Order: sequence, then C-alpha cells, then structure tokens
Amino acid sequence: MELWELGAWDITKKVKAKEISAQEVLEAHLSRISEVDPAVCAFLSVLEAEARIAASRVDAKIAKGEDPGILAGVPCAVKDNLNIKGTACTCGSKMLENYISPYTATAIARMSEQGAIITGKTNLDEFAMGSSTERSAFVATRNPWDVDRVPGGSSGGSAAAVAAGMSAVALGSDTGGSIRQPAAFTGIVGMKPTYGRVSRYGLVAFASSLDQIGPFARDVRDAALFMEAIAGFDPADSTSAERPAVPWSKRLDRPVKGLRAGVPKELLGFGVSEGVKSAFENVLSQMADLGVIIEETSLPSLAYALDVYYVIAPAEASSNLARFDGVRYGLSKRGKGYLDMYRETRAEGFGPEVRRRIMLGTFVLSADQYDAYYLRAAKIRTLIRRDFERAFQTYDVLLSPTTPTVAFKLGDESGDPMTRYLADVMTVSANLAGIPALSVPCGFAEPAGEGTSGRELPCGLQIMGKPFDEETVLTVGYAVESFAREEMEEKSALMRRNLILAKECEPVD
Amino acid sequence: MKIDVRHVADLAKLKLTEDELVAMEKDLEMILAHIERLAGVQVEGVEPTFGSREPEALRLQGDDPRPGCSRASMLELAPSSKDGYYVVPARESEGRE
Repeated sequence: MELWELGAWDITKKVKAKEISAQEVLEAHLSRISEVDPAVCAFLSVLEAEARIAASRVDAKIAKGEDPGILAGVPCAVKDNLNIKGTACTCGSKMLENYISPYTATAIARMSEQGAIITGKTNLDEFAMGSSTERSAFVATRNPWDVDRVPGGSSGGSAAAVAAGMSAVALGSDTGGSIRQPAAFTGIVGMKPTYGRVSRYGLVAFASSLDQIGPFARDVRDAALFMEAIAGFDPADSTSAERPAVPWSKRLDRPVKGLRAGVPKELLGFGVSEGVKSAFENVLSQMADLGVIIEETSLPSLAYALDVYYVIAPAEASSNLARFDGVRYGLSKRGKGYLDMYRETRAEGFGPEVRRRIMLGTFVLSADQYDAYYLRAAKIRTLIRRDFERAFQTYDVLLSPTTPTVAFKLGDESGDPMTRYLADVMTVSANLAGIPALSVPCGFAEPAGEGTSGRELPCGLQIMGKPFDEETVLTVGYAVESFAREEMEEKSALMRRNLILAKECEPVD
Repeated sequence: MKIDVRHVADLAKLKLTEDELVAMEKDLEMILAHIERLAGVQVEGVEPTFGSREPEALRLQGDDPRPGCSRASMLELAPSSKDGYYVVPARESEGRE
C-alpha cells in the first residue's frame, strides 16, 4: 500500500508510533498531487514550503515525546474560501485573485494545533455558489471517477482531492449541500455539522445563517476524527454554540438495532433517477436487516425547501457580497467617481452566477418585494424547522439519497438556472433547519439517459439528525458504510490507479 | 412577474451591458416562476426564522482587548491608501445622479 492511500486514522497511529514520519507521508502526498492533479485540477495552490515546515514540527514533537495532536501528520486540503494568514484566498473569484489573508480561520488553527498538515487550497464554484465547481473563475475541477464529469460543488476541489488520494481529508463549507453533494458524486464521506458546532470565523461568508464548515474523508471514522479537531465553542463567532467537541471517532460502533429512521416521502418526489433509487432502497433493506426501524414519513413543507433556499441564500449573499466595493481589498476598478468604482469593480470581479444571485437577492430584499419574497420565505423556513422538530420526536434520523442523480457531465447545463439548482434539492433543508447531515457512499448507479454504457458512478446516502446529535448520525453512517466497504475499496483503488492515465485538464476560457 | 432589472442592477451596484441586462431579466424571470409557488403557502400567524440559532443563544463578545489584525496590515490590502486612510475617487467628479 502506498502512503497516500492511508486514511487519517492510520496515518496518525503510524506517525505517533514512529513507523513512518509526517514528512514521509507529506512527500508521498505531494508527489501524488503532482502526478494526478494535472488531470483533476482540484488544487488552486499547493503550500509545499508551509506544509514541509508543519510536518517537520510534528516529527520534532514526537521525537521530544510531546503530544503531536489527534491529527498528527494527516495531510489536509482546504477549500479556498477559508483564510490562512499569509496565503492566497481566492474564493474561486477574480475579485480576490490577488488577495492575501491577514488572519487565520478558527477551524484551520484548531486542526493545525492537532497536527494536521495543510497541503493546499482547493477549487470551488465562485464564492461557493454552484453545484459543479465549473463556476470557478480559474478552472473546472474533474471527477476522479470520470474526468469528463463534474465532482459536484461547491467544495468540488476538496472532494476530488480526497477521492483521488491527493489528501487524506479535506475541509469544505456547506451552505445548501456544498459538502454532501460533492461527497456523494465522488464516493467519499462528507459532513455538514449542526449550525454553531464549528466556528465560521475566517470562512468567507456566502449566506451567514446557512453556512457551516465541515470535513471530507474516505471513511466515517476519519470524518469523525476530523470533526473532533475542529468543533467547539469560539468567542470570535457570535453564533458558535457553547458545546465542546465529542470523541465521536471512539463511539462509532454503538449498535444501531432499534434506532428509528424516517424516510421523508417529499424528498423522493424530485425526479430521483432509477439507479440512485435502487441503491437507496438496497441500503434501506440492509439497515432493516440490522434492526433499524425504517418508516416512510411526511414533512410537507420540504416540498418548498428549494424555493425557500433560493430566496434566503441569495438575499444573504447579496448583503454579504456588498463588502466587495473596490475600497478596502480585492479587485478595484477606478472610474470617474466612486459610484463608477463600485459598479465597474463588481461587474469585472464577479462571474455570471454570482451576479445572478446578487441580483436575485437584491430583488427579493427590495422594498416592494420584501414581504412577498424574503419575509414569506423566512416564515416558511419556520414551518420547515417545525416539521423537522415534529419528525425528530418520532425518529432518531431521517434518510434520503444525497442527490437525485449521479455526477453529471461537464458543461451539461440547460437554459433554466432553476434546473441546475435541482442538484441541491435533497440537501438544502438541513441548512434551513440548522441540523447535522452526513453523506456516506451507498453503492453505484449508472447515469440515467445515457444508454447502457456499463459505467457506474458512486451515489450517497444522506443521514440527517437532531441538532447537536452528530453522534447518532455518525454511528448510523459507520454502520451503512460497512455494507459496501469491499466493493467501494476495490473500485476506488482501481479508479485511483487509472487516474495516472487521464488527460490533463484545460483552464477555463 | 416583470422585473425592472435596470433598477435592481442599480441597487446592487453592478454595471451590466444591454445584452447582459436582457439575459439577466430572462434568468430572473425563470427563477421567479418557480419561486412563485411560495405565494400559495399558508403562513398567517407564523413567525419568520432569520437565523439558525435561537436569538437568545447569541451573544456579543466581551469588551476585552485581544490581538487582532493591525491597521497597517489592513491598509496593506487596500488598492489605494494614504496617511492611514483609504483613498477613493472624489464625489465631485461623479456628476449629478
């Protein structure tokens, strides 16, 4: 087995036992990045020098007998909307192409304290707005399972890096599914924690009431371990919850027998493809065999979740992105007066999707439309939260496919923006309700409508839980991933080997 | 739903070309055609949810000094600064709005 194939759990164990050094693990990953990233385009920048210093520090600590932390020597890629002092943070946007972070996000500082080695910054849809990572101003990231397909988004670079073996774990952000959807598309684990569980300090804001930082990993235990490092109260984020991290990674093998799982029928009404549906049903029957009590249930307001999301998220985005004015940082186009400076800076700095969402958000917040759109959506959000509260009186978790389809082809877009937004239909409700949700691989399916190519792509199961009950969500995920573990490991290993043969990707026009 | 995109672009401080305005109008109308469904939901007497945490769970930071970004490091990021201030184009050159 190559060092880059090891997961976080095994790396820390071996590094602490001095079987391997953090520096050896890092060098294996840096070589892997230079070998396959030309075909995947997951990274926007690789922080080789900084990573080498961090790895040698971990090795020095171990040599001195000091505690190197729970992520000692684990290479970690970071979505390029999280600030790391002294390094670029582009958000996939021309607006911040030359911006250097003056401070470090809390989640980054915490994982570094625990010995994680930050290897680089990963690609994303501009300002995290998109579901394909094609909307980066710099390059379109490819899905390692099929480089003609998208890895999902917006944290597609982080997902692809982990799936391709370029990073053991990665950090992403999830506003409407931006961790879970790419995790499902690339056959890995992705978690959106409860709102308030992980500090947002240092995450470039998209929609502040929905954004959460969370982990990508190749298995549930690694995701749980990573969560332990980044979770916990932070006075620098006013919405941070005063709840300490839990040793989740050590509590995963609790029996799931007798747990109650609900399947909201509203979520299966959104054009779920036959292949994804059959993988989902297969997992449900295996869970039932383990003694999980599975029932169909109804959360009527979920039928409106996507529409509510596409009012609230753009509204908050238009407000958050007002800070890009050409005065204090980022791109600045100086016209004849200061109003021209605003307009020209923003026209040149923002790409088409970001502009569209700013316009939509500005419209729904404008004086004439506020009651009809924004206020109404905020009220329906209350109904969605109530439906979840009611469901969680009966059920320990709620289940759905993570996405209605497997990964789609690059450039496969219809004219109607709302059709593209359907990729988020399963995932947005967890953000609106602020609850934890995990995507775990649950098998493979053929893409619908492409004939019988015989090509199979991974799909994900979404497990949603009660606020701050990450423990149950992760426990269920741990049980589920065991069903397809062998098939997943075998196919992933083959996929990673074949990646070396893939063609180099080209930059965005 | 008819949208005055020119007015919205003005509010959003986005300079869009005539072609971009036309395309934007079409896109927004398609999105709003879906969102119109929300008008049919019964929300009378329902309080809005603006955040993901209960308002009483939120708190302000204590008034305790702690290390942060320096003024110099902030101004270093600015496209233009002078004597510790940001420099912007003058209002006078704007003409009448």
